[in-house]
Amino acid sequence: MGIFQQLVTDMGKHAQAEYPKECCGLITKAFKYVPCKNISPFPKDSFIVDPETLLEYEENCWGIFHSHPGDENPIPSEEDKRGAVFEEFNFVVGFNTKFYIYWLDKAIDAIRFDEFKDKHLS
Amino acid sequence: MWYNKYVGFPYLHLGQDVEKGIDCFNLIRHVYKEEKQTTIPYTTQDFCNIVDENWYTKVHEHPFEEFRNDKWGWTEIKVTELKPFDVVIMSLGSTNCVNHCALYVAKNKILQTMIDHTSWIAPYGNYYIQYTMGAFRWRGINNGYFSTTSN
Repeated sequence: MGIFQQLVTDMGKHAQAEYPKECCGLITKAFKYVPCKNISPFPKDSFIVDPETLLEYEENCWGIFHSHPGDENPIPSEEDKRGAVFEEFNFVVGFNTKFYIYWLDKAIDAIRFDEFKDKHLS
Repeated sequence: MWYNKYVGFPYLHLGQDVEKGIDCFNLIRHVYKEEKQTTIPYTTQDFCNIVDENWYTKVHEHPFEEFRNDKWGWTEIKVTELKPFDVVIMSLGSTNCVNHCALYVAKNKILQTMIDHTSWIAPYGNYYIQYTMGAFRWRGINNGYFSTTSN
């Protein structure tokens, strides 16, 4: 299995295991998935990555993933804008086998997104 | 009339669900599926990748100008030639942006939806004609721009 396929498989499995809660995790610079604890008090609707894991991987973190449980078309939400302020990280959202990469477009103060594909791994 | 059952759906930018919310183009797509058994193999998010209910006030992008691009399967017609199931694209409000589309459903009537509205039937008269940027008829998709498995 290729690096990209392994990554989305691991994210999909974690999302499924945490259903109906949102799961979250880190993507390392080698594009390995590291599941994290979602410490949000409202884990069905939101996520907060466990800060200890984030600190541990800070130097080696390419991106942050979270799931939209049960969503057939898990595009980023307007709320996801709050978390997308860190320019040093990439953001991925998804469920099952559908994943989107998203970023804050500062010029318009809105989220833009694209279907997550292996071309984004760089 | 057949189109009355598409009235009253809540609006949601990029939404595809008539109960949770649907936007202007995805509503047209929904009607094509229900009434014509035609699957338009793409959704609003293939034109517009901005998550923001007020996206059209922030950008100078023209997502529905894209109808002119051959790959989406539409042929441009004259506004005077409009028939049911044709589509008009519009630039509404004070934006410099082709930000809206509506389905022509009967003589001088359109089905549409937009922010702060539920879907409704509007008279297609001078008010909407002044904002109209083009009229289009579904031709279908040519030779594999979209595979059946594409998202």
